[in-house]
Amino acid sequence: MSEAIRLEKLSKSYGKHRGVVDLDLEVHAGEVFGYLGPNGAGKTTTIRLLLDLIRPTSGRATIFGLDCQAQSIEAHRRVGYMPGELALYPKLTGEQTVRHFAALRGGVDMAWVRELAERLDFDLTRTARAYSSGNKRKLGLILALMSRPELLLLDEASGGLDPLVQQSFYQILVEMRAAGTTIFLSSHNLPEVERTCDRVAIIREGKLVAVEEINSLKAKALRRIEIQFDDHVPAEEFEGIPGVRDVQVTDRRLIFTVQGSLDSIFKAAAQHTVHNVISHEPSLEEVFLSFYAGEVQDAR
Amino acid sequence: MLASVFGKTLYDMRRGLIWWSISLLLMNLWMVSLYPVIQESAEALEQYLSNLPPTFSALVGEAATFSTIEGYLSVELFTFFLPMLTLAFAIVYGAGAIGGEEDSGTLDLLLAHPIPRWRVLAEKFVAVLAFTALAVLAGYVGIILGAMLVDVKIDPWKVGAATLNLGLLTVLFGTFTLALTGIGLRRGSAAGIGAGLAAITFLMNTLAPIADLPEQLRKVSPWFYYDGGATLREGLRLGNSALLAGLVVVLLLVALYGFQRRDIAV
Repeated sequence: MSEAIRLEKLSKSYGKHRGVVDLDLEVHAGEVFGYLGPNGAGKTTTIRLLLDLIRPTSGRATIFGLDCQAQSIEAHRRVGYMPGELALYPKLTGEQTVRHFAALRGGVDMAWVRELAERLDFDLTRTARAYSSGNKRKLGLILALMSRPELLLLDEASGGLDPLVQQSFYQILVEMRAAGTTIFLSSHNLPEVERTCDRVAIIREGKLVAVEEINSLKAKALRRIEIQFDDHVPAEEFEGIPGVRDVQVTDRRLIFTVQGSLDSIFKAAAQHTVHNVISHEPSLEEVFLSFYAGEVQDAR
Repeated sequence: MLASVFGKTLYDMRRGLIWWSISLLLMNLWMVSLYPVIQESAEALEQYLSNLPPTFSALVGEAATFSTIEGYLSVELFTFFLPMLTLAFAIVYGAGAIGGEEDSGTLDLLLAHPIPRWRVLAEKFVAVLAFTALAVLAGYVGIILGAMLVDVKIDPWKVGAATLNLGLLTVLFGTFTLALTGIGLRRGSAAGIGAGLAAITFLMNTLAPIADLPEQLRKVSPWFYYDGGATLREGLRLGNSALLAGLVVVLLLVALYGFQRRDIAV
């Protein structure tokens, strides 16, 4: 079985509310797949369809070939899930929560749970009510990871984690991936998806607008860059470079937008004394803009 | 305790269970131990009752009498007061079993685990059933202890029969609110409808005879089959108890069917 997830014309409509429309997608076993879109685009709806928490209006979804609806229990055995809106039992301690959900799975390796807790710097002994939102997220991650699932469904998983813990979390993902786990990661955070994923799907208003290798996504992404020089630089030197747009020079600062490789830019900049470089990560909206720009051009 | 949904649900209700049980036990014990004093003025009280307008006498139960312990307990506990209390917790816990987890959002995480929906609901139902059984049993113990304490003769089987019916009526309304959340209502709506229906069916049963309402109207009220007073006097009427139990099963099936099919709300 090479497909961890397969969506076939999967649709969910909620009456007036937007759901998802005709999603066709394959996530290969063993890959880290980013599911990227702004809030409300349908990321959570897709994941909840996969988990049989909601039922499709039409189409179907499978996990490792198992029908998400008819064989949901078999599928759940192989899946670890971190909800985006994580809710925990407020009166249970971290450890009690782990034991409760572990029992529903027929037991988990508690040594692995303790290792996860240590690496995420999480104290299992306090009650969920007393945890900060970051600590709740950590417990949610432990619950998702504790059974060493074959497929991880992570809905906005790293949100609310402090940067150091995020690093540990990414490291754990790298290890799990190396051990063969497929990771499906929804996010509205492009840098996160860039650094962790092999491929990415972009969903907007319930529809898939692109499924791309992360590298080609990066190549398409518009990036805004500011280079500060020690002296004034002429704008013309940069205007002709392929992929470079909107060149502005103010005082000793060069600001431009670039799509694709930065190599020619930096070679040109190296003719002058570079004082500082500031790269603004493209926001998701900017990535969308570049996609839509492409669509418009194709249409012509 | 936390190894199953049943255990976890009962664990969550443990404080409620302890306090409800203690309260019902002490309240019943207190009521029974007052009986010797009441009995002394039974004649005056009965005269008072017989002079009540029919609407009121219907509310305290037909054939109200204070000259027997059964009559006294029927009026003071089983006709209205005890079921009102036990229905209160059953309606709340029934509506909260699934509805509470859905409102707080924990249902998503729970159902993402390899446990079928029907089983989550069934285990929660059994937890509410166990809660009810233990609470009404505590009330039963209170009556028996009270009778022993003040040396009043009372038939433990008849008290047991009335307690059984009380438990069935309680579970019935708990299962009703569970079924409402099973088919998709939110906890608050389910509890509100449950409480409203309990009140309406109570009045249907008690007021139908005096308000010239058709007898059939009484017979759709579960209170008609519960009839704690008559059960206390005459013992178990198997048909009535079986009918209440059958209704519980039907509502449970509705809950299971609805819950298995529907979307989980966020």
